[in-house]
Amino acid sequence: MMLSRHAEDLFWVGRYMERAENTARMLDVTYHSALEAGSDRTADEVWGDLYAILMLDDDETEGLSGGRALIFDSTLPFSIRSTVTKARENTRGTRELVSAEVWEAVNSLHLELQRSASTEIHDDRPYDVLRVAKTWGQTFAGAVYTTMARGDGFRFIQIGQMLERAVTTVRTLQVWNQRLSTHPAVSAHAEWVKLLKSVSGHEAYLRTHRAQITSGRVIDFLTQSVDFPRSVVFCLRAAEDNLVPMVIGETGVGARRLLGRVRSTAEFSEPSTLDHHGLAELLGHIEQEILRVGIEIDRAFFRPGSAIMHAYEAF
Amino acid sequence: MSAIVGSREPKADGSRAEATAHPSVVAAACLCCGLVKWRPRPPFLRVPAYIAPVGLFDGYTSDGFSEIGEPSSIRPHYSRLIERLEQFGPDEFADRVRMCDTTFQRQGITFAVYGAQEGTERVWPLDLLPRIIPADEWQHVEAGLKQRVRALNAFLDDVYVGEQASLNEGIVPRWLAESADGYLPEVQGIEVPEGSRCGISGIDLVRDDEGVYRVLEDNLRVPSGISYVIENRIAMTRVLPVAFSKYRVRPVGHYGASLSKALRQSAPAGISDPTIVVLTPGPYNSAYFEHAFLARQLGAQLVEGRDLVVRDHSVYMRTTHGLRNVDVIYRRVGDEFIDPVVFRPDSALGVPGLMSAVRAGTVTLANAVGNGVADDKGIYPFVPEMIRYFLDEEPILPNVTTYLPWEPDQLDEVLSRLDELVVKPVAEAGGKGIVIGHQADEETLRRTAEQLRADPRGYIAQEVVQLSTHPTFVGGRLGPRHIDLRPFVLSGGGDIEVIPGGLTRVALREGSLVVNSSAGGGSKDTWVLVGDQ
Repeated sequence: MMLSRHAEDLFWVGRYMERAENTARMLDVTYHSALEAGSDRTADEVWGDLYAILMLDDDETEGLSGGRALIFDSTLPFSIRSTVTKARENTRGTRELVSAEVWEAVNSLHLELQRSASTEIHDDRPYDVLRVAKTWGQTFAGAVYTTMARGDGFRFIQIGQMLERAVTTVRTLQVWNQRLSTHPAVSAHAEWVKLLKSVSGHEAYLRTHRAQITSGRVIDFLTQSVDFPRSVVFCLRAAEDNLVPMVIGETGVGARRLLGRVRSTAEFSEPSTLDHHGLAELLGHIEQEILRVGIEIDRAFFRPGSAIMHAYEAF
Repeated sequence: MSAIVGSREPKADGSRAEATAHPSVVAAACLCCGLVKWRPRPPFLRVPAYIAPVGLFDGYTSDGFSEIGEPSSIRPHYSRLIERLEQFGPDEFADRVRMCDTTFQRQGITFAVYGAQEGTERVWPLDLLPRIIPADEWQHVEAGLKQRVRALNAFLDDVYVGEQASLNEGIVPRWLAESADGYLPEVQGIEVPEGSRCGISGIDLVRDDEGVYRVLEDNLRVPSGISYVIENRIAMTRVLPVAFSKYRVRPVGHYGASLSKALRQSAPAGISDPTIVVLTPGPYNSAYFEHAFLARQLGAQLVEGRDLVVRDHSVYMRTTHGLRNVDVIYRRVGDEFIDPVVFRPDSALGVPGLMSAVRAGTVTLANAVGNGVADDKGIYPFVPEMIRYFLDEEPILPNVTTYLPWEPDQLDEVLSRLDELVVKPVAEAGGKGIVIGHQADEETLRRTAEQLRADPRGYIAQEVVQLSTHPTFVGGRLGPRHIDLRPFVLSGGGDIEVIPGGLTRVALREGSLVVNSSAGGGSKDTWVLVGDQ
């Protein structure tokens, strides 16, 4: 048993740190793709994809020029820096519940971003700071896994990470599907490679399927692989494994049911047989259901005895 | 009310305490607000006290009551410590000091500094020379503290659930009690289990120039500092174990168990195994370290207001297993913030509806709400009378001599000696509006006199108190520094326990007389000795 506030803080530490790492990875890929956009697509279009994955609307992206703001701007709630700051605040409030190594990973990334924000070099070379963000993000995930006792605190961090990661993969796939349906690429192959890289899945894919990159295989791989740790099914299974032990009596029954159902949908549908439209519908449904899982977890564990539904802008 | 309240009190030896207005005296004030404890340039500062190889106390001259005695004749309970210390060189001491700082830093034993840059935290400053209180001296202090807390508790019960006899009979002027900031008519009639309203009290003591322990202030709301008492002791046993070898020192580490016992005894009737929580304003509060420390010591959840919810006049905490009933709340949130429904509606630190649960008797708050009426500055002068009235005993620990400007003859005296006294507004908290005669310029004194004439009921005036001095390491030297003492008193189920010693605070900076930690004050481990030593 733990205080709901602590559970909520830890859930969001998991989400925010995962989000920071994901944003860093996508920025890295986007930045370098934009450099070689060439005749195929304009740099603006390339950045537009990223904004779509991050679910930013036109108001929010107006005046954003490339990556710097997305990394450092502390006034933008979706910048890596803001995200890490929020993760750090949450970790501060739960300092006694996480290991020293977990705190250090979050705090170090926070300090690194503060420090880098005041230097100029990254305008031209964002790679360094993005690598640092990814590295600390992975250090965080590793520290959670190797230094924290398998109690509720660990589980909420894991659930936060896994839901965030699942949603990111779904949304990334959604954006690619959307674009390839409206603007068939000159080189579909290059686009799928970029997609795989965005979710750190290129090498894993090659090891599984050799160099035979086809849209169907990529879609199956990213949604249904039970081995690749960023596939939708993998993430939802992991979230489920951590949720189940915490469902006691009536508490969390609804969340468990929803999570199991969306995991089954992802696991037993046949996304590679669908056309663009069908795939968009399936991915949209999965995304929606993951959102509901989050709301249900919030209601059951973070707001017991409260009728107020928490609106999730962040999903 | 008769003449001067303070001077009516007998001293420990039965004679009357006469506070003298010595030209080089210290204005002592609130421990919480850190008001400057001021006096004119002390003579010893002109002769810096170095740790000279020929002796630790070369050039050591104390102007107040010297805790260790004179260097030529060290008081017996300090002699073994001084002998031991004389075998240390200055370098060795510097090493120990570093060791101590590192220990505190690593463990995160810090305090937040308000007013400085946001988020500034400082390492807790511990001076390595312990303050030593002999057993018989402590026995006297302890008896005085218990007596005082018993009387204050009786007064609170009388005001809130009794017949208000003390107000009706003028032991404490009714107008003064009812106009006190801390008096809360909203809690009128609310019974407290076992009548124990002051579960945890901190009574601030100073020693005047004759060495008499006097009460400077009562803290019956949310007194802090106990965690540092315990951490100081742990650090001392690690850093300077040899110092303990010649003494038998009474332990302080059992505080958590004692607090737990007192809190359990205060649980609502019929609850044998109460769920206790510690309620904190949150990590940005300067005493958060202590809140977390106490929660650990109690094995209790450290909760914030938003973690609690009131349903059908019962309090619950929100947990991942649903709502869990709470029976006792050791709250470190002030009265005015505790329940936005009853008190400050803009408070985000409290729990809406909490007072309804308290009134229904389903939950106990420690300390009780409304205690501020008893530790108010305006009420303070009447505590000796409370002791006589409620306990039929003579006060053991005298107050600092206090004048009541609303008594015409006392007003005259105050006005004629304005440049020697300390004037405190009754209604202000946190040291606001205090005028220290010695320090004030002509204009301030003139204005103060005007205010006193216009609103004599709004102020009290006090003699400045000479604080005692204690040898302290500062910048590699050993010199006399002014100290005070905050002992902690626990009550529950009719028992009263005083933790041996308490928090000794030191004005560390050379020439400065501020004991407040956030303003550069330090602290000392406080040893109460066992039996005859």
